Amino acid sequence: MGARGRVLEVRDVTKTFGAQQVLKRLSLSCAPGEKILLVGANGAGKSTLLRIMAGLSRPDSGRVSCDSCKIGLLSHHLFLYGRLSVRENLKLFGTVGGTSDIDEISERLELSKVLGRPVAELSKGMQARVGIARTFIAPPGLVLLDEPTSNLDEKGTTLLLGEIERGRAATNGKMTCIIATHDLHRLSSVATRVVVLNNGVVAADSGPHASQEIVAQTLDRYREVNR
Amino acid sequence: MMKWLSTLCLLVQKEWRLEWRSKELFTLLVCNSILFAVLVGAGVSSAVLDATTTQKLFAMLLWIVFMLSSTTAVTRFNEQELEGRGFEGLLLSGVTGAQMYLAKVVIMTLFFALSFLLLVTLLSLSLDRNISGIIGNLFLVGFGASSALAALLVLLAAVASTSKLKGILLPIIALPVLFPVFLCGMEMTTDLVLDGALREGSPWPLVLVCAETMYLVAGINLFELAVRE
Repeated sequence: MGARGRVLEVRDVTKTFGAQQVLKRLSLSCAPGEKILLVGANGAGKSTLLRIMAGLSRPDSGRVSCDSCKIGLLSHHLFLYGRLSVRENLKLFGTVGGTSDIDEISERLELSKVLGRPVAELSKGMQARVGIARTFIAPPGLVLLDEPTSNLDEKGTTLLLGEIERGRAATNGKMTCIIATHDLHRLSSVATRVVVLNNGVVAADSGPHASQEIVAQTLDRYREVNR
Repeated sequence: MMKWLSTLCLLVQKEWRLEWRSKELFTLLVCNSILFAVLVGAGVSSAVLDATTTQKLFAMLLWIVFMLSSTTAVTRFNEQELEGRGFEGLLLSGVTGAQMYLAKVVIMTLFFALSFLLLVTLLSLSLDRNISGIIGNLFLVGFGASSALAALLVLLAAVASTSKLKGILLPIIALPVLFPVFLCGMEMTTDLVLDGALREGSPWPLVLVCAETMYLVAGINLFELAVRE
């Protein structure tokens, strides 16, 4: 169980792939309801950290404790079955997640017309929308988004942000959201906290529930370092 | 418990749909069965063996062919899980490794049992053996062995799935571990072919049940570790 008032606690986590140490005794804790922007250059360890937080990858040392029973992860891996139709995928993931109503989320994400088609036959953008539907069909307590806008157009991004807000509303604002992204232009406005990763450690942290001014200052520092 | 079982049913349905749409396991099993049965039939004919010897060899040839056909057919069984990493989505949704494992075992058992039936028919035709009187019992033996085979091969296919050498690796690691199933199947089939019924007090059904239980316990407990990164 995580510490009180924290939905997620990562303590002294280390992860190595071959000779490269991707995460170096990294520690981070998140409170319920936070919307955290996780930024850093390529190879900084963002995706690895999210997979460890989701429980899909084991750290070499350190520990991760999570108070949320449901974790949603959206990444460039779709976590879907390409040969099953959109309807079959959503029904499968919805039912095991605790809901059988796929019509509402399909309509919201404008997937109704492709429900009968296999996921593998859809465009990347539509596949990404199905991935969003899978993630939010049963609103998770902790949602981890790894480059969520990489295959999305403006409309798709708007729909994604809508689902985040809807998920937060469904959980009385307690849904914690961690977004690893380079797309600061489209996503910086939603953050209540910015965490900068550099070479596997937290290089800067605006702190929980920071004001928009502090969030903006932290992002400016990150942009300057990466210029 | 009901939720656990209904999730398992959903996963069995998913496995069936995936396999039915790709037909990879089905095609490989059917092709292997036909190919091996014809090769063995041709080999035995050219060796000019008499009917008694052929009858004695029938069980051994059947089980060698079935084991080879099954272990070489499952090399791509986990490919669809890896393609979209659907299994990680299921783990995130709260599905356990045991449920995923058992669903795969159910579907693989079904396909193996059907391929066994096909193989028995083809081999009896190519060796000119009449097995109509024992086909029911033979199918029961085949079904029991199929479920034991599936229980182990699902686990080993998951272990081998991340290896670049999985096509070679899987039969190499599977065949020695499957030796108890081969022995049980062969001994029980020999009884059926020669005497028309299982020998009274035969230990082989119990050995098969023990082997299957061992494979199932290992699979239920280790499958999730095998598929997780």
